[in-house]
Amino acid sequence: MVSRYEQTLQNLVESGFTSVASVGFNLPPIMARYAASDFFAPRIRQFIYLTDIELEHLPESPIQDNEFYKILGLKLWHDGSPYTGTMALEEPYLFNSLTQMMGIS
Amino acid sequence: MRMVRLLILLSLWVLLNVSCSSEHAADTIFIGGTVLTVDENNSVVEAIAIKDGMIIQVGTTTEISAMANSSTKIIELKGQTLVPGFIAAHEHPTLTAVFAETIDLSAFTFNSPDDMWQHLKQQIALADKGDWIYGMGLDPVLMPDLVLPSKAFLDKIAPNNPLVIVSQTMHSFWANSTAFAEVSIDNQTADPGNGSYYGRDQQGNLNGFISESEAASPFLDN
Repeated sequence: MVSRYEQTLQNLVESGFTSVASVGFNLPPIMARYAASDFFAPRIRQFIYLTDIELEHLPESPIQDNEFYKILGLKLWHDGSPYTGTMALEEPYLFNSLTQMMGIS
Repeated sequence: MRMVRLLILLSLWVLLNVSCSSEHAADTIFIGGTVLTVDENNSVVEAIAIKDGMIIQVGTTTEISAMANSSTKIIELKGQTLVPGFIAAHEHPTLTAVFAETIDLSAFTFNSPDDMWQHLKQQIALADKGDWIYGMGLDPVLMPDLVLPSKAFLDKIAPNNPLVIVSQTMHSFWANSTAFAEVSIDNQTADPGNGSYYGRDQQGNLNGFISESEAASPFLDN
């Protein structure tokens, strides 16, 4: 599993990503930190949000000593999906001022 | 003449090391390009300096070159544009890793629903009877002519295996009758909630659709 996680991070790096926010469903921090190290050099910045079933991994204070791995807090609100029909919206998802400006509405 | 060249080179080497001690020198500098900093003023500069994996300075090629010493790696951009790395702001790398060895059904891989379903059928034929089969990446957005699978359709293509299909968004799932039976979910099973539920037909019978991860979790524990 750790090697697959390493490959997932590496795929992000090779696609031009230098930071990734993992919003729930996380590996235990020690495994995520291990996977983030590419021969002791940082592979990618990881910003972590924990779900309510991962509270055991919440540090007592914000992590300040590591620019490349930070547990930022809890994911209190679970997002939905416009395609599954579970996303709460205040305006049409594909027809709004932004999509009109971009010509994709 | 050779002596003059040697003296010039020696002078340059001394100048580099005097002008920038190793304590303040950059590990790497990128010079001679168009660097989009995307700072609050959207500044565009020519060069940047890196030390210990961090950007420590941006500026003109002249300014940044002064931060180099003999051990600094110098990368000439030759007019090319350098942009900041992208930020993947909402990812689930652990889930991506979990599903990495499932059957790829992505619209990035297949051009048509026919090709995608044919690939799934081929993979099912390779599985041992009773093995759980997972397909990942069903994408009605990039594959607009895709007809979402019914339980009857999944029963037909996987009569001997529990089959679970995960959408590209990871918010929608589909399963066949064998999978529902394996996790003891039937027409009488209550939905976990309003947003996470089991799809049903007008008679209240399961139609194979599963909304959101809470309802799907029994299918993902195998």
